[in-house]
Amino acid sequence: MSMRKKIILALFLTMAVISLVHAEELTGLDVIKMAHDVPEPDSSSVVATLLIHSKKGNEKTRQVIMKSKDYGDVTKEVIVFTSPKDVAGVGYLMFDYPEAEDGTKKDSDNWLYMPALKKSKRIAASGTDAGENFMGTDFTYEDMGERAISKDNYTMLGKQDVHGVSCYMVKCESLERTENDPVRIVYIGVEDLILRKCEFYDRHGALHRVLTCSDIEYIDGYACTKVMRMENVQSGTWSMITMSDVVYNTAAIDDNIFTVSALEQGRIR
Amino acid sequence: MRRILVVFIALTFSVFCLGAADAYLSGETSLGMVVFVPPVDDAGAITQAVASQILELDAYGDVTALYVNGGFCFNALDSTIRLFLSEAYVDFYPDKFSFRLGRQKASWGVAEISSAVDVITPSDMSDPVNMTKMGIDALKLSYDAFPLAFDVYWIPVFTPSVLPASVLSMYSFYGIGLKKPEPCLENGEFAARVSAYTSAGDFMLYGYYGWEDTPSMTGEYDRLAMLGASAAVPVGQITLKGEFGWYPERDAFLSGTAGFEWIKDDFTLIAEVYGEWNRANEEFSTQAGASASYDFLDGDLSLSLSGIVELKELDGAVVFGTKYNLSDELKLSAEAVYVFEGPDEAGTYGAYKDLDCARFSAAYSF
Repeated sequence: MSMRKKIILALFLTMAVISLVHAEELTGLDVIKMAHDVPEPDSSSVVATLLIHSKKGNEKTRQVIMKSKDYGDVTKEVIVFTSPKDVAGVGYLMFDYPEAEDGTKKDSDNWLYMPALKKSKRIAASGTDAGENFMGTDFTYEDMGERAISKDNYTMLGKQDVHGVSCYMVKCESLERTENDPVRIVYIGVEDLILRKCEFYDRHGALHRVLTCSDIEYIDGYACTKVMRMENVQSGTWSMITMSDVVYNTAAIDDNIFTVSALEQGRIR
Repeated sequence: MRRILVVFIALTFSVFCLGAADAYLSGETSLGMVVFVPPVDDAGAITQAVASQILELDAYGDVTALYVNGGFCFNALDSTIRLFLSEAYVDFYPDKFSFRLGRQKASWGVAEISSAVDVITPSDMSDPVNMTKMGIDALKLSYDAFPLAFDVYWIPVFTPSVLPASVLSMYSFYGIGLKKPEPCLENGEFAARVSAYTSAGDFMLYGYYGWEDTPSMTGEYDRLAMLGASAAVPVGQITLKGEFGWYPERDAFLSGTAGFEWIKDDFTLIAEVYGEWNRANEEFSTQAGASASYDFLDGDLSLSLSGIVELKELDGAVVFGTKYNLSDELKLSAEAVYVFEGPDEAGTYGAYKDLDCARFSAAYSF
């Protein structure tokens, strides 16, 4: 072996050891906190297409407009269906409040607008179970929101590649064992700390669902996962959410659309 | 027909002048049939067989919008065609101020079964079992200062409710003609609503000055004034609801509704009690209503059961319904309606006891 090759090998081994030590130093909680702290836009507007694939192979498509804005003390979000025809115009307005330092969280404020009735109605915050399906998909309402860090215990399992991207592998165990999927293994990109994959395990420890994230693009400096596919390995169904017309931090997302009046007026386009 | 066309063209022209950029046309084709069921004498007779076509135009720009909903209904029993224009309005919402001009529907109050304050729009009662809201020709001005919102309506031309055929024939039998208020500025109607949307709940105040939308025994439409309030307060998994209305010119001058709505995943339960105080005969009448519905198969199949009963006469009605989505476009529905009399007297609902029926419909939307 030439001296040059020895030096390269030595450097490689040194880097590998440093990398290993670094990974060992990071705990699961560290990775989750780092991923949680990845900058996010204060406001966003997207068109989401929901593809629902049944066990028999039938497919349904739903399209919604989703707009949200983070005001610090509250995150306001509005979702309006644009298709199919029978639900077009149905809208949800949600005010979500951040978790307090003591781990408590104020109930969200929720309104539902039904164009057929020409009225909006107040919905109790806990009317929708976080573990229930989101709009008939294999995603749950909890999957669509940001999960509080204090809800889980974390264990670093190491690293694994997902579609050629090196990822931290962290086991998240819910403190509430009554949840449908109390254990999750998340795969978070080592370089960008973006979620690439998540495996959901049910109360019996059996693999229940698998989330795969792809088509990750940077828009105005913020990571955007454009395709999320959730497969229910137990039922054989899967759902895919595809984001389009993504706009971040634009003045076009004005404060006046996050109101009940705007929802009733059909101003969210 | 001519009036409908004029309104349509005027609204289309105005919104495009205001800069609408996108326009979408959609609609629904439906077939419906109603069959009398036992124990009535006419069991098996088809009482309604209609085909209807609804077209919707939705066009909008940055701060403007146009919405038109109209169509026609073919009655196969008497081979008649009825044209209708449910809504046709333009919206202009440059900022917190906005206005809506044209035929529009509105709904007041938080009650789902019996409202004490929802007086703003008349009803089409031609099918007493399946009453629908009618549009009013109005100018609505709104100011959105969230969490507060203000709405003011000016309704220059009075629109009465469409009465059931049995009621119309009663007026006709006694030779009483229906006399609508003359269409003039003094006979216009006015309405206002102030809303507050807070974390603790939604609170509203209402004011209305106009006309009763159904005629008195003399065939005239009486003046109507109303002051009301409503609240919807979420508590845990349920939303508590209450309404109160004061009608100074009515005999039944006080009315109120209290109830709750519980939504748990795909299950919804609504229960309400409605009461009104009649100062003429010093009687307090109440009725209780409830509705439960459950969605199966990711919402493709839904079952519902609702009922209402007058607590004094003990008459009422029960409706069992089911809907099934064959696809996103094609939907089937069926409903069974049972109306019952009270043990001592027929009561308000019992008067329609001969309307026990089964209803079937299929609708294709595009």
